[in-house]
Order: sequence, then structure tokens, then C-alpha cells
Amino acid sequence: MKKIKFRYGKGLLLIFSILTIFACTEKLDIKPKQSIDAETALNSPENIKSTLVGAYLEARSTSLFGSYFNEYSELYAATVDLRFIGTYVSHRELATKLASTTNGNVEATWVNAYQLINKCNLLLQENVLAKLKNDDDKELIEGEAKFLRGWVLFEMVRLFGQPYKKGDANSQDGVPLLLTATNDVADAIKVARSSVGQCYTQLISDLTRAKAILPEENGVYATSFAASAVLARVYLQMGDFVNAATEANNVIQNGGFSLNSTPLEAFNNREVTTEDIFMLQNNAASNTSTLSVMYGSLNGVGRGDYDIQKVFLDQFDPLDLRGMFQGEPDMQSSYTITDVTKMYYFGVGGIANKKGRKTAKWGDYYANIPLIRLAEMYLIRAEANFESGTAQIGPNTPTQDINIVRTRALAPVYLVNVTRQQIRDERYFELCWEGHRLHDLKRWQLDIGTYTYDAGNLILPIPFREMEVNDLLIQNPWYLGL
Amino acid sequence: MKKTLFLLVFFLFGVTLVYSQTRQITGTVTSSDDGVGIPGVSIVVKGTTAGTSTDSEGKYKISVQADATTLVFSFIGMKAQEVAITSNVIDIVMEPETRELDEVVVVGYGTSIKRELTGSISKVETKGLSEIPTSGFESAIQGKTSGVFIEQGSGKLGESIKMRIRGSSSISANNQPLYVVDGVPITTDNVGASSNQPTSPLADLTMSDVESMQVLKDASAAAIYGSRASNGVVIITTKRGKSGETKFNLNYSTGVSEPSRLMKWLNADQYIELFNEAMDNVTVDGLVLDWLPKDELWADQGKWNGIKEYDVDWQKEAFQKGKINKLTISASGGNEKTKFYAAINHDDIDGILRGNGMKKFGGRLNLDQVATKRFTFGIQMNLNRTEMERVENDNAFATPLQLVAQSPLTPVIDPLTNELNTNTIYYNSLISLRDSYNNTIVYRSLANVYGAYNILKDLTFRSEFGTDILDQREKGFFGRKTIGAGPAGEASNRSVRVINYNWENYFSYSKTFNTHDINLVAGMSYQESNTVGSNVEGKGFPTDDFQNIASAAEATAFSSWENGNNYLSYFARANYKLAEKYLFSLNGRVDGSSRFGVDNRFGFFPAVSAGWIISSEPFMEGIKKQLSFLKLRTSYGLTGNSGIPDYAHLALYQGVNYAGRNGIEPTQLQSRTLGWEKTTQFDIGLDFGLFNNRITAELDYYYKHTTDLLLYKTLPALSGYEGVWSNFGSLENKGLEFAIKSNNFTGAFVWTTDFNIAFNVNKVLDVDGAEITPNSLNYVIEGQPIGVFKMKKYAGVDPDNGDALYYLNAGSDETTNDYNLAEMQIVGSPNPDFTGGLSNTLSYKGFDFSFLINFVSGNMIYRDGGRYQSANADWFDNQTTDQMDRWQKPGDITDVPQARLGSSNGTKSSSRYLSDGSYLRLRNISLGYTLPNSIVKRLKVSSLRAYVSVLNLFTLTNYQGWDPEVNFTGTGRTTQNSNIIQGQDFYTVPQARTYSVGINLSF
Repeated sequence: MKKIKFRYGKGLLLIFSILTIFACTEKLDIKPKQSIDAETALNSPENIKSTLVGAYLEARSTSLFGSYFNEYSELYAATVDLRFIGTYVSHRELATKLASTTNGNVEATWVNAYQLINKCNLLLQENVLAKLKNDDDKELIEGEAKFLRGWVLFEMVRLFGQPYKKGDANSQDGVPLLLTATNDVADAIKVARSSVGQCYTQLISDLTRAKAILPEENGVYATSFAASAVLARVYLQMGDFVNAATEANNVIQNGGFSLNSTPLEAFNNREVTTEDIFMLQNNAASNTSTLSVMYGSLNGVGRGDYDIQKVFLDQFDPLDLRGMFQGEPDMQSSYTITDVTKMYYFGVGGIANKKGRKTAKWGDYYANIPLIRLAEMYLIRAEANFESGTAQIGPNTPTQDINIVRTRALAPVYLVNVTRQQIRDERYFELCWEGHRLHDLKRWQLDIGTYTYDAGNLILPIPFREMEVNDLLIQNPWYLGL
Repeated sequence: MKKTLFLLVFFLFGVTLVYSQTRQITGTVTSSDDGVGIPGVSIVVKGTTAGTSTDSEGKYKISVQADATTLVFSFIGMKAQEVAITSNVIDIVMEPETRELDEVVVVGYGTSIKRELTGSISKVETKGLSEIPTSGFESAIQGKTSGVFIEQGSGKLGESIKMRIRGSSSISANNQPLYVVDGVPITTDNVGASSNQPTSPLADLTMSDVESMQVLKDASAAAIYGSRASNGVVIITTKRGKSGETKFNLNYSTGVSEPSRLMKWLNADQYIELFNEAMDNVTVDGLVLDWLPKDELWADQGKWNGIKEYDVDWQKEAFQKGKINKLTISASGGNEKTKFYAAINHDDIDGILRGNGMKKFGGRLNLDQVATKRFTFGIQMNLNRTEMERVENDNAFATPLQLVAQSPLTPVIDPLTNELNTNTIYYNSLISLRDSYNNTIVYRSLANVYGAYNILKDLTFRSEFGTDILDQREKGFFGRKTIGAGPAGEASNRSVRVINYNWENYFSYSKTFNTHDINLVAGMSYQESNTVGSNVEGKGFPTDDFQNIASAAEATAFSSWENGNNYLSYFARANYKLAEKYLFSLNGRVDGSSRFGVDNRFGFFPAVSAGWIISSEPFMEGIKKQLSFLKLRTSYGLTGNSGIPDYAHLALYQGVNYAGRNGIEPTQLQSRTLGWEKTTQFDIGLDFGLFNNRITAELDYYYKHTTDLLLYKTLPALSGYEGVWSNFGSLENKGLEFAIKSNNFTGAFVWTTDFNIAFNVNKVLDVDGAEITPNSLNYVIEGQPIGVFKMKKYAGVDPDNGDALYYLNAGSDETTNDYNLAEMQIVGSPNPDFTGGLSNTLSYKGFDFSFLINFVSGNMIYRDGGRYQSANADWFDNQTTDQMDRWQKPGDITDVPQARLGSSNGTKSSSRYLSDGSYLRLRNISLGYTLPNSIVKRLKVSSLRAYVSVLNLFTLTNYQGWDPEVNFTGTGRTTQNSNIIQGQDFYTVPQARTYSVGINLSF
């Protein structure tokens, strides 16, 4: 008996052992937990709307509207008014206006800009829009996607291409236009740069469509007025003053916006203010805080790398709130932005112990980032009406518009008609450190230090990484030593 | 089967013999190592089963028949001896077994004898490992094994270590070897926060528990681990009990440490001189840089700047006197049925960098039970707790070593406040050391249960179930005065748990008939690894006394994640040995992984090898005395790599948070056909032994060719994606390895020498023509080794005007002072030409002495920090003293350009900061003394040894930075970046030099 049992045991064991060897293969299918697959993503209205939110997040990237678009403009435009005193290599290259093709910031901008464009392209696919039953949603999503795409193209073509010239074919290289969505590796095609003219045509088309179909109210997202305001900028850049004034006037007259009571109130807000036509949203857990990192120098905030020089503040009228300075005796190392009451303050060395004069426009990591304010619309309308040489658009003369902005800043108003120089100065006084300066100087065809407005080093290089994988791209000549 | 060499070392010549019926023989068996009695030595009368064993003092007493002629003494790890019975007192000195060729080598799913190996496997000497005063075991084996290159990225404790076996075989996928501990492929990927440098899960292993470590290098050895074997396999086994009396062992060492190398910085006078000059050189109309007068600019840099009131050595402030205490207590023993090994260990280390420390506690129990004649089972398990006190990554103002950037004119303590000075040029990171902490606590358990059943006489079935549980918590608090944590403090809490289990079942069959030996293994393995993690960060605390997130005013980050990967595998191996001379091996593994698309999920990895023991041929008999052993072996096979992120083949969208509004965004394109990265490897080797194997050596040549690279292929960013995982491209590694071991002296004076050297040439063959660079310094370029340096080439200084010059074009002598016009060119490789080590062990009477030297040659290091540290006073960062050699007047011949504040004169990335990283380091040197038997006996212990040792006593190098053994891969790493970014130094902490004393006590 015992012997037999043993033999059975042995047999069973052998069978068992062999069975363990053939385990099941379905164990190899593991679904990701914090992501969903692409099929699901663009299949329901909820997910499609969420994808649109993802596009706003992309727009807020440090490398796009969140910071670098501002910084490229201010650093390239800076001569004696702002000094870069930081250690970041990429920033220093830009501050010296000698960028390299491997500049990390420029590469990030390129990559993220096209990520944003692709997100818009994904939403703008016919079959995706077709999944949206309700007409408003469909137009809303199309409008917002086109708003973001048109606007980012505008920024990109201004930064990577030579300036738009009024009355010219504008055949100089702009940026590649890829308007189809990438759903698969096969869609990742190489595209050559379109001309600056073609880029403007496309972005105007996007923004115009956005303006037409977006609602007037849309929470924190893009509205018809936001599209109109961007169009005002675009037309101003092109020297199309009639259209610029028309769009600015539309926003001023119909938008229901009003200036905050002081200039500083327009900044460091965690809520949308009456002056904001479009702002990017930040909060404690989700933010793009790099503008405050670079410009700020407060308790816990900022490296203070951007030092505003006294020569700049000296240009302001002594009564102008926009040029006021909270000096060293009135600043303490414990101060945060809420303790700053003037537009400029003596840095208290948040991170890099950078002292000197800092702007109070960017002093809170978690505050929203105002991108278009009503004040700019007054300035656009004033300049466009002044320059157009045709009938005035809107109720105000350029002088009146300029004085609206000055009054809010407690700067003495102009009693006689403003000059071109006064209009231009006013733009700088009001909009400094908000990313307008380079484009204004190029528009006015003014020299920047020793460089002419169209100097080859004042446009960004096509990033090295992109040149490596797309042989259709042509590098900007200055970066080839030409 | 094994040919055992019996060596008679000792004959005792007898006195007159008295014959009787039985006789009593007594004596003592001692060890030649230390002269101490060996307990448990088996003594058998030859040709009978009659026997006894020695007592705890090594004494024995045996009754033998009158006609008995010979006694056989045997003990594991010692040479067996046969002694003629010529006296009633027979004392024996046993010698440790030094027959390298007969040592047992652990291979995948079994063991083998070294002389019969057909693959390339290095066994690492583990003796004495636990005495080396370091925190990790990898650092203790540097230089010991040919073809294994180990690099500690920095002197910070517990951070990850780079190990390359026969070069880098991948660009985007993992290049680290597979580690198998007691049969379980363990978790080795860093799971720490990406904002800091990676931590090493290998730091949790305990050196003193390691019994053996072998490195499987060629395809034949590694292919049994199939899809994860391209980078080689490190097999570690832990100690097991031996039958006999319970033996206790205690090892305790204590020591102090200091930086192995320091850099030289300007003192106050030099600083003032250099920066005054740097400002004067850019002053026009009284304004420096068209900006401020000199005194105002000085004042801008903190209130003490510009005048010599203080002269501070800030470098000193970054370091502290390190301390190390290591304690291990183990017990092992058992009987024929049950054997155990139990150990506890405790390490307490203060690093050389302030704020850096490590504490380890752990325990292990290994148990083996012979249940029946046929069935044995056992369990091995350990639990370790590792606590690391960490500082910020090297590229953070808060990291202590960035203190060197501070001006020597600014005091550490502000005399006005008596607090740490906040008026320094850069943030004073001593504040972080005072007001913040950043701790990582890891609980790690490796456990393994096995059962083996002898189904038939020659057939065994073995089942093993192993787990590796890693629980890592990182907790940080940053007080309100620390950098970026104002106005009210920040805290973070991060937790990751990796559960990795592995089930293996396999049959082993071995049979010998006539001159044929067959050995077969076949089985399956299933491994599942699951990672869950969560992270929360908060800001705004009532006071610095509240440090838990519970007290935070708002959450600034919150997240959780879960990932997993599974492997299902079948493996088999057949070994055939003919006439003890001809060896053949065939093995293979079929592996399926969840990391690949359904279509390409399974891969097959076969390998074949053969060996010929030429010295066993009759025609070799004549020179057998000189050439005692000669074996030719060769192998060819295919191995794989699957070291890519989980879900790399899927098209994914992830959830995102736009300031409280939910969104989703595409993150990854689908890669439907994603499959294994394949490496074919050819190896040919020659093993030989000279003079009765007093000298043994191995010589190997290999060629590794990797195709279907798991390449994160760069896409035009126009597509909205930066890249996609694909199987594309190829690269190769080829090299030569040589290792030799010589027993120079044996007997009372023992002297052995080990030397190894390995050459490897890595070359990227095909990446679709594109250049890949994560940092614009290290590149992947076809025809070049991975990570090759490409940058503008520095040409020194124009003697006429002090401008920095660069070579205009590669291969041309023409120079330019316009940085932008200089061509980017290949200027060197971070991969060494050769690496190796030399060790010597000497012992005489109770003394033992050993040292280990390791060397690395031909690699370049880019000192990225040089752009600030050695920048001819480009900004107010304190400078290295060599900057005093700056150009000052026309005609000066120097390499340091004119000092010009804020003018980037020669300070942009260029080969100016590239230097030779070759080094030769006295890694470890130790001297020990074992007390003689007579004294030990009185102490009632079985052995007592005291030792002193020094780690990293000196380093010979021309490297300009702190330490040539360096790599800072930055933060926000990807595997690809860690592979490509090599030889980078950015304020990276040097290795410690540690002096320690210890005792080793057995009883």
C-alpha cells in the first residue's frame, strides 16, 4: 500500500509541476491607471471638452504665454532699462541677444507651441467636432481651439520670422503651418516653413472665425472679445490701423470692461478683474510661476534676475503711479507682494539675494497671468487712430484715449494733442514687462541698442533638435553665420 | 566526476609505533589562516565509516583499529587532507581551498564549476566586503572584476551608481544590469522624487549577508535571463548555515571621513584684486558695464563686499567630519536536517557633506530544511530599514556645495544679527541645513521560499516564490527662511511602494554515463511588479514648529500613480560534457512582457557555447607542469532589453489640472509594433593556469551588436510630440578583458595578486542620421561612442587683447574670438578606453594586509560648474585660484582670458571646461591582526581579528574639479538622458576618504 501511494504521489507531483510551467498569458495585458487611451479620449463630449482645457494648460506653459513669450520680448528689447543679472544660461544668451540653436528655452517654446497647435488640431478634426451634439458646444470648442491656435501662431511668427512689412508680399520665412492633427506616427510629417504672409493669413482666419463664433461670456476661457483684442494686436503689428482701431474699439465699446482703479490692481490677482480681457489661470496647486520667479525678489518668491534700472524709472512723471518706487528703507525681508504698494520695489532677495529695483507686476506665484488688459485696447485705438490718417474710429481722440490711461495712473493728462512719441512712450509706461516691447520696437522700426530692428539675431533660431529631424526647415540666416 | 587534487601539506614523522588492537589518536586541527582551532572538522578512517569531528577548540580524539593506516580530514572551504597514522598525536593545519578552477559558480537556475564554464562569468571576491567602510556594496567591488565599470556619480550617500557590463548597449532603454538576489530579479529603478538625484534601491542590500556575487557577461551566461540580459546579470546569493555548532560572528568598525579631494578657491585679497580688475576692464566713463559705479556694484553684492573685513573659506562650510559605524552580528549553524543563518546589521553614517547621512537597520534569516530524503525546502528573508538624510540636488542653491560660490568677503554669521548671514551673493544654503530636512526612509524586504523535490534519482523539481517589497517615503520640510519656502514654509510628503513578486518552477536533470555528462534545466517564471505612489506638498505653516502637511494652509501639489509590468517566461538549458574535455551548452528563454504591443510581446533568446579543456588532452601531458590548465571557450547568443517605461507602446491621454479645472491631454503616440531590443554577442575566451594553477588567468574578446534599439525616436515637434518609442537603429560594443590571479607565495607567508583590465569600444551605428542631445554637450552621433562631447573648441587666449579664442572649424588651426562663429565639433568621449584594478593580499602569522587600486583611463569630464567657478571673474561667484593666471597685458601667454565682469569672455560652454577624467585610486587599504590561539582561548572566543582600513586614501588624476569619479545627470531624468549624459560635473560632491578601525570576533 505504502509503495503504491508513494508512486501516485510522485505522479501527481510530476503532473502538478508540469502544469505550473504553463501559466496564462493574459496576465501580460496591463491597462494604465492614470491615463486613458486615445480612442476613448476624443470619443465623448466630456472628454473633448476636457481636451480643450488641456490646451489652455499648454498655452499657460512657461515656454509659451506663461512666461517666455514675455521674456523673449523684454530681453531682446532690453538695452539700458532692464538688466539680466541671473545665472541661467538660456536667459543670459537671450539677454545678450546671442542665442544659440540649442538654447533650451527656445527649444521648449518650439515644442510646446506645436503641442498646443496639435491639441487644437485634434479638436478641430471634423469627426471630433461631429461628436458634439449641441451646436453651441461645437462652435464653442471650434472657436476656442482656433483662438488658441491663431494666437500662438501670431506669437511664433513674430519671434521666429522677420517682421511683417506692410504692403509687402512678406515672403520671408515664418513658421511651419501644420493644421492637421497627429493621431499616429504616420501623421508626424515634415513640413517646411511657410512665409510670414501665409502665417498671418492663417492666423487672421483662425482668430476671425473665433471672434465670430465665440460667445461674449465664457468664464475664464476665450470670448469673442478676447479674439477681437488679439486681432487688434495683429492688425497693429501689420500696420493695418483701420482694422486695429476697429477691433480695439469693439472691445472697449462693447466688452463691458473697465479699468481697475490703480495700475497695480491689474496684477497679482487670483480672480478675474474688470480690466481683464483674457488671463491665464493659476492657483496654489496648478501654476506657471516663472514670471514671478524671474521678475520677483520677495519673501519666498523670485530670483530677482530682471533688474529694472533707475534710468527707466526717471522717465516717469513724479506723480505717475506706474513709476513709483518702494525703496530699501520701506522694504523688509519678510515682505510678500501684499506688502508692496508701489509699482517698483527694492528686492529683498527671495532666492538669489538679488537686490535692486524689481517690478511689482509679477510677484505672486499663484496669481493669474493677465495677458490682455483693457488699457492696451485704449493704447491700440489711440495709436491706430493717430496713424491711420483716416476717419477716427470710436468716440475718443487719441489724446482722450491716452489720457484715460494716464488718469488712472494719476499721471498728469495731456492738454494738447498727443504726439506720436507720447503715444509710443505711453505704451511703454503702461505695458512694460508684459511682453510688448520687442514687437513695438520692430513695428516702429527702431534700433535696439546697436542692432537694427530687423537684425538677424533679434529673431529666434529654429531649434537644433528640430533641424536634426526635419530637413525641410531652413535656419534663420544669422544662426548660420550669415 | 570532479577531479580533486589532494595536497599533502603536512607530514608528521613518527616515533616508534606500538601496535595493539585499537589505539587512541588525539590532536588539534587549526587553520593556516589564523592558527585557530577549527571546530567541526570531520575525521574519518580511510576506507571505513568510523569517524569523529573536532570540538569547539579544534581538538579531537579517535579510536582506530590497529590496521588503520590513514586519516582523512575534511572541512568545507578547506583542502581535505589524508594523513598517515604514524603517531598517536596528529596535529593538522588545514589550508583554505584556493583551487580557483574548482570553485562553485552560481549561474542562472543552478550552479557550475568554474573549470567547466563555457560562458563568461566573473565571480567577485566577497570576503572582507563587510569590512569596507562604505554604505553600498557596489562601491566595494569597484575595480575587482574585469569588464564591469562602476561609477559612483557623487559622494552623497545612497545615491544611484552607474554599472556597465561590457559597455552601454542601449540609447533610450535601461543600461544597468539585471540583479538577481537569491533567485529573484530585484527592483533596481530609482523611485525617488525626480527633483533630486536618483536613489539606489541597491543601497538597501546588506554587504555582510552576501555569500557570493557573480557577473554574467556573455550571451551564453546571460541568455537564460533572456529579455533583460543584454546588460549582463549580477547574481547574488546570501549566506547559508552549515551543520555544526552554532557560530557567532560579530564585526564592528568605526571610522571618520573627509573629502577625498578639495578645490582651491580665492582668498579675500585675491578676490578683491581679481574682481576690481574685472570691473575696471569693463568700466567706461566711471560706469561698470555702462551700468553702475564700481563701489555701488560691490555694495550690490552684499554689504561686506569690496572691502576685506572677513576672509572666509566657504568650501569648508559645506563639509563636515564624516563618521561611520558599522555593526553586524550573525549566527549560523544547524545539523544535517536544519541549517540556519541569522544576522542583524546596523550602519550609522554621517556623510562628508553637511546634512547628508544614512542609517541602516536590518535583519536576515535563512533557513534550509531537509524534510525527507527527497524533499528539501527553505526560506530566506530579510527586512531592512534605510534612512537617508538628504540635501538638494547639485544644481540647487540650497545644496551645501554651492556655498563655494559665495564671496570670501562675506561672513558666515551676520555680526549684526548673530544669525546666518542672509546678505550673501547667493542664497546661504546653511539656512537650509538649519531650517529644513529632507529624509528618505526605505523599508525593504527580500523574501524567498523554495521547495525542491527529487522526483527521480536524477530529476529534481524546484519551485521558488520570491518577493521584493520596497516602500520608500520621502518627507521634507523647508522652513520659512529657506530658499523659496517663504513666507510661511513648505512641506512635502511622498510615498512609493513597489511590490515585485516572482514565481519560478523548473526541473533539473543530470546524468552521467561513461564519459558523458548531461545536465538539463527547463522551467518557467512569472514576474509581476506593481508600483503605487502618492505625493502631496503643502505651503503656509503657522510657525516653523509645525512641519506636517496637516498644518499647511494650502496644498501646492497632490498626485498619485500606479504602474505595473509583468513578465512570463519559459527557459531551458542543456549542458553536455564529453570525456571531461569537451563542453557544450545550449540555452534559451522565451519571454513575454506587458511592456510591448500584443504582436511583439514574446521574444526568443537562444545562446550556444562550447569549451575545450585542452590541458586534458594527452598531447598536453608534457607541459602539464608549466601549463597546468588551458581551456578555450566560445559563445554566441541573443539577449534582450526591455528597460523602458511601462505602457510605452500605447497611445495615451492623461488627466491634467488647469487651476482647478479638469482637463486631459495627449502624452504619447502609439507604437503598435514595439518589441524587444536585441543584442547578439560573440565571445571567445581562453582560461589558463600555470605552475599547478598557482597563476590562473582569463582572456576574453567579445563583440556585442545591438539592433532594433528601443529608441525614443525624435519626431519633428511639429507633430505635437517630441518622440515615439520605436525599435530603430543599432550600436556595437567590442572589447578585450583580461584577469589574472597569482598566488605568489603560499604557506606561512601568503601573497596573492589579482589584476584585471578591460577595454571597451562603444560605437553608435545607426540612429537615422539625427544627432540626439539632452543637454547640448553629450551627443548620440552615428560613428561615435554614446554620449560623445560635442561643443565649441577652446583655443586659449589671444596674447594681444586677452580675448578667449575658439577654433573656427574642426581640423583647422584658424581661431576666432566670436563664439558664435566657431563650429561645434567632437572634442572627446566620456567613455573610458580601459578600466581595471589591482589588488594584493598578504598575510603572515597573524597579520594580513591588502590593498585595492582601481583605474579608469581615457574618459573626458565636462566640468559644467566651471562656467561659474573658473570664469575669469565673469560674475561675483568666487573663483578657483587658477583664474589668477588671467591675461593682464599684451604679450601675456595664458589659458585664462582677461577678467571682464559680465562679458562672457570665454565662459560659454566650450572645451575650456573639458578635461581628462582618467584616474588611479587607492580604493581600499587595510591591515589586520588575528590574535594567536593561546590568547584567544583565554578570552573564550574562537577567533578575534582587529583591523584598520582606509578607503580612497589617494587619487592620482589631472582632473581639475573635486573628483574624477563623477556624474551629474541633472534632474527630471529620463533613462535616455541618464544614458547619454555622462562625465558631467556640476558642483558634484567628491567621494569620501574614510579611516576606520574594526574588530571581527567569532565565538
